[in-house]
Amino acid sequence: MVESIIGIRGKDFVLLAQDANTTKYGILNMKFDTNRLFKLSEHCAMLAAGEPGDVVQFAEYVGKNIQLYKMINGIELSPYACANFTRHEMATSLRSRNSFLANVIVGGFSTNERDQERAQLYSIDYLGAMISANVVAHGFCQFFALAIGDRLWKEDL
Amino acid sequence: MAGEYDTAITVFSPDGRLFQVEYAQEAVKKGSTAVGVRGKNIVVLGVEKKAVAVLQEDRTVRKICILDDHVAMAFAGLTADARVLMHRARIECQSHRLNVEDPVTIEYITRYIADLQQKYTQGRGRRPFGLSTLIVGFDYDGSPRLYSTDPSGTYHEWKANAIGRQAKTVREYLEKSYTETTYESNHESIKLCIRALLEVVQSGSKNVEIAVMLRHKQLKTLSADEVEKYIAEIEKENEIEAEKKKQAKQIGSSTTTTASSTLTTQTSKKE
Repeated sequence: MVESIIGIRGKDFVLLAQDANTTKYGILNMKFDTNRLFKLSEHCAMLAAGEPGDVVQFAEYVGKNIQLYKMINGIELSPYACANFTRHEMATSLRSRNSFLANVIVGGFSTNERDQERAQLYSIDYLGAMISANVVAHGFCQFFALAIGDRLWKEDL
Repeated sequence: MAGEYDTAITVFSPDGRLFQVEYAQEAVKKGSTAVGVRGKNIVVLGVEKKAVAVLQEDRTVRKICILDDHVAMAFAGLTADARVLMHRARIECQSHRLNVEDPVTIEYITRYIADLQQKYTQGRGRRPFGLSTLIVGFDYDGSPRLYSTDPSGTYHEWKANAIGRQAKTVREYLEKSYTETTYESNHESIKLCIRALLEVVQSGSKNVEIAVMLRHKQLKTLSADEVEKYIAEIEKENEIEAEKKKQAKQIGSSTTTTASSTLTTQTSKKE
């Protein structure tokens, strides 16, 4: 809950942000180079926050599978497809021995010209629920970010 | 003699041969030629493009394929077998990245593919993979690599190699022509690859497909125009060579007359 991640969708872009590069343990700062942003493909990225081990494990697992798809099929998956894959993995692992305590934001720009909405942003929580929205956030900041988004987000950011 | 010992591949023949593996190597010899050349800063793969049926879509024949951002593979032999091996290798490339956070070295992935091929020579009545591969790429320390595997599961590193139809002829040509210049220059490496292919393939950009990988760059397939340019250059060089040879022959037949004329001019100069 302490780590915050935010995603904002504009007309032809997606903005992904994480808070400070620190991992806290109680009152101590354990790590100063925590990176919560993981590249899934050339035009899609994932922000992940939650249990530190789970975050890295899950994000890298999804990332490598997206790369594998690209190698086998020669095309990049759209953020929509990446997000659905992520959701599927999250939901499958939930009712198994190894579940991931990670909240995730997947966002990017689709390289598929036939997509109606090219800028795509999705939020998946640790229970495998996925939504698509203009402003998404996880962590303590979500109480503020979502409210501000509701008030101030507009069509042509 | 072969009859009894070639049905179950787990069986050695009395003279120590695995016939199924040898038959697989025969299948490779029927496949279209593939050539690989390694330079100092470049690796080149060239394949013979077989003519497609009239009604078939002339998409690029998928004989050169990427296994990862920095590894590419060409093969000779059974296409379907190659598809299976490729799939396994691609998974392994990503799995390696996931587990050790580093891209595979070319030797690692070659060894993985060779191990797979070997596994099928040793058990449960499965036939070996009927293909040889040429695997090229750059290790993360920047060094270019070219490896080759065969149905028996052995692999070697090469400076330049050929597999498939008439591979022996092409390899002999490569042995003759691979020089320090080839190694140093990207342009020469590509040219050598095309030259080697043209030994056994009809000349023309529609019969060859060339792919090039530079350090830290993705595999790039040369367009038909670019290949035509190289072929034009090669043909010009061949013409010049042929001219030189013709002239050498002519000079050889008339050395006596020219020698005497130089002598006479020298004496006149002295005066």
